[in-house]
Amino acid sequence: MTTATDPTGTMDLGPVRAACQEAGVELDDAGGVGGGPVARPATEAALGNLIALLADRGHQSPIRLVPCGGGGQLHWCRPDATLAPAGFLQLSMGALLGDPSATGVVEYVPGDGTLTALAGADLSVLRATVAEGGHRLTPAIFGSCTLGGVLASGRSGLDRHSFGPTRHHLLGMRMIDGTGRHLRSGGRLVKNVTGFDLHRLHAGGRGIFGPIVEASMRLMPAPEAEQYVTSPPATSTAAAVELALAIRGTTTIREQGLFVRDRVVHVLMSGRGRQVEADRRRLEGLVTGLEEHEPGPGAEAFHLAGERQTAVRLSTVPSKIAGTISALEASIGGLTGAVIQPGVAQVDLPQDLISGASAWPSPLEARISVRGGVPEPLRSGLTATVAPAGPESRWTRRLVEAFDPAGLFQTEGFPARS
Amino acid sequence: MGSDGKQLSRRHLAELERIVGKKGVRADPTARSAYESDAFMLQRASAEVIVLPRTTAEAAAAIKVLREAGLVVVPRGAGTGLSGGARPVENGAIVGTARMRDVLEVNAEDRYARVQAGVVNVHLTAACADAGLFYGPDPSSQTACTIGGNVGNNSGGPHGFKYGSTNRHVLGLTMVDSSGEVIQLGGPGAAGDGDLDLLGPVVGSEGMLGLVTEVTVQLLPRPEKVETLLCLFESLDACCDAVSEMIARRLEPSAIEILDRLTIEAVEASVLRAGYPDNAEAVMLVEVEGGDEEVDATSADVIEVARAFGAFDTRRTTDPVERKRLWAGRKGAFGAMGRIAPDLYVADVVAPRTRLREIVSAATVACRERNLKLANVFHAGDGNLHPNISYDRRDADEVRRVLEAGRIIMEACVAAGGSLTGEHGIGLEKQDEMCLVFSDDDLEAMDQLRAAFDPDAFWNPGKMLPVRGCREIHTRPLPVHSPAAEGAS
Repeated sequence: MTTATDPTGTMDLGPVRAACQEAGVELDDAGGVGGGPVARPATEAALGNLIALLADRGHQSPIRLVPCGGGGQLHWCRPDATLAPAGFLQLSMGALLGDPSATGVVEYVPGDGTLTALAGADLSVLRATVAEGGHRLTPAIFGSCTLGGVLASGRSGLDRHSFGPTRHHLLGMRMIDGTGRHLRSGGRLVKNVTGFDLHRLHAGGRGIFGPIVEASMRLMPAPEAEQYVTSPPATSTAAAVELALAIRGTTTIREQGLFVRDRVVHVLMSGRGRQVEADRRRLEGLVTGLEEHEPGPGAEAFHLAGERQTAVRLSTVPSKIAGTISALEASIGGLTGAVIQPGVAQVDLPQDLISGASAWPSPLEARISVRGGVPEPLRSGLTATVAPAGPESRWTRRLVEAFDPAGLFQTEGFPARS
Repeated sequence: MGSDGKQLSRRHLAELERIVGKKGVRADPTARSAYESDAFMLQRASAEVIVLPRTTAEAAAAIKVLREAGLVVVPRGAGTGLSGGARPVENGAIVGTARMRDVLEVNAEDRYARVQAGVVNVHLTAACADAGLFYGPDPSSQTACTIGGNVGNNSGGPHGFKYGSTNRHVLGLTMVDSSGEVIQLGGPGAAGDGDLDLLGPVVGSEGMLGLVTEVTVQLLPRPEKVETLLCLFESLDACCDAVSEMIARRLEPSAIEILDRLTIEAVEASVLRAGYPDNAEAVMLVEVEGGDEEVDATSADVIEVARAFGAFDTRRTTDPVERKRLWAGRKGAFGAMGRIAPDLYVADVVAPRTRLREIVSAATVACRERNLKLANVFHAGDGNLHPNISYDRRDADEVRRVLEAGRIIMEACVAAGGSLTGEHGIGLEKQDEMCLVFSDDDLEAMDQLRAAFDPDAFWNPGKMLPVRGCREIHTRPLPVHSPAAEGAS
């Protein structure tokens, strides 16, 4: 795909400015994340018109668009990892909320345990809204982010350990595709198999088919009680992971969250009050010297302890997580700052941990996906960039052709396709 | 007849027999008649040939032959679907998974199983019981329905209230595409975050994106304690309201089911007699799972709500034999209805859980006005209603009234913010009603998704998506309420 960027990575804003004016969309040349240009549509209709106009004129002057929530994941979800923010146009999904004090809540039905909100809604605001009705929102991500951003970037929180990935709680969605069509799939009910689940495609799609404008989520009941405890530091990260795996394997302890960071096992228990107490006693039988922490509202302290900007994510299966950690420790060192979730067999490595690494351990029985900058020597070991061959690649290509024929939202290297 | 107007040639038949064996090819009319419909028996058609491969490799080879013969393919599990999704189509073959019944792997440590698509749902849970694990989705037809069929319809079942439908449990799939190529999607070690989720749209795609031949599913640890509760009501309305209140109070049992008087009578008169009392207008069957303390506390709360809404008797049991008997009655309810009339129309709709009573009432009125016999048995906890209308298919006028009532129930559900189907798909029965829910653009986008996977419309053509545009059907989608949309208008 050709682009309208010059060698310095700056996009020609002329066509963008003209389209924004015609569609009635405010354009800020440098007010976006990282100082890039940003369009701030006041209505979904205006956003759809802008996309349609840019798609129609795309052959004249190709433009790259990125739907943008809080911008926290833009470093890996943008069109091209090497492209400066001036090289693409951000679409502010927060602008659709209108009034700055607006919550973005479209419909919260406590009696049905569902929430529908605009994509630009702040996750913390939504969490507070449903907490008033006795619910909690999955994912439990406490950093600044929007509902649409979390969905599009395919993020899950530490509650994935017990509740599964965020997309499992997504009931339906409205979005605007790369031709400007306003599309809807799924619904607002906790159970519904009407039509194809197109929304599952957009969750984790990094916005390559167009912006998500609204999503409906299944809510979980807020627990009656929560306890957040940590183990004493183990002798090594691998030993801490072994301990965490032992906790996971004890089915009489119903931990809601479980991760290892800096050789310490973090455990969150939640549920009925007496059950949490009983589970705590069982856990004490397995781990001596537990330290109790104030979980805070919504177990915020637990989740914040495990939230870290991730540069690389390794995914495997629980039976291989200990071996993976041992291999990494031998190769990289103490894995300080890494967040390891043995239950979902996932290892998040921060930027500073891998900045001096020269090679991945071999063999490494894990899938590697990049979320940030990776030193050049490590790039050669990446498996995530291997394009699938055959039908999967053809399906992806056809999906892009159908939903974004002008290539407005396409990113370099994602999804990998031959 | 094939698309070239000729019958499937002897050469093609011989080739199919060579691939899957003689037992795997059913070409004679008597054998094919068994496949003329699924559990939606109001529409029947004959397939050109039935092909029953044993492995993915056989399925892939057979698909190549069928394609060369100019046929299209309808994938089929056990045929327990309620919407006609597995009914044969013109110029079509059935490729069934009835001989793909192997549990290929149970991995206790990583808590997953890999099975052939034809494995019967209940056999999977049996296969992993020794490891202290179970498979979450448990459709009422679980003694017959297959894991592949569950994938096709994103099936749930009573315990879907807690564990969710099939899409929350599928980790990976092996599929055959229309060229006979085999594809692996996902797997036990694929976390999925940050990936394009091609697996997601395939689950619930009603066999329109490819032939699923193997499925990798997550397994769950068996709960420490399970308690089954029976709450008896003098009124079906009160029973529905009690469920709405349980949801509003955020109670977390694993299943909440309702059976009305006619269903209770049918079950108690059958071999599946569960010991449901004969003095109740409605029975609420609840299951609570977890640790001892959790189960005790939640069961007490459930009973408190039930009594507050007029339950005149409540019973609790943790005895496995008694629990099994109570659930056998519930899961065998559809079969027991055979005592009432020769045929059964089972609707599958979803209502918001705040409006259960309203939709049950609408179904009652629709059937009463048409002189139809209605029984209700449903997954109340997640709002998935199954109004059962007994009829005789030989009575054309009664069939007409049944379909009319079915449509009214669907419309009432959608008007209340509900949906057309909870676990059986759109199939043939509900195609036109898709326009009640989705716009022309929405449906076009769904067709584009289908075409991305299957550009030649080789898989189960003519299902789910309306053949005619919504404007032609003269219906319109319900308005979408959104502040932003309103601001735009």
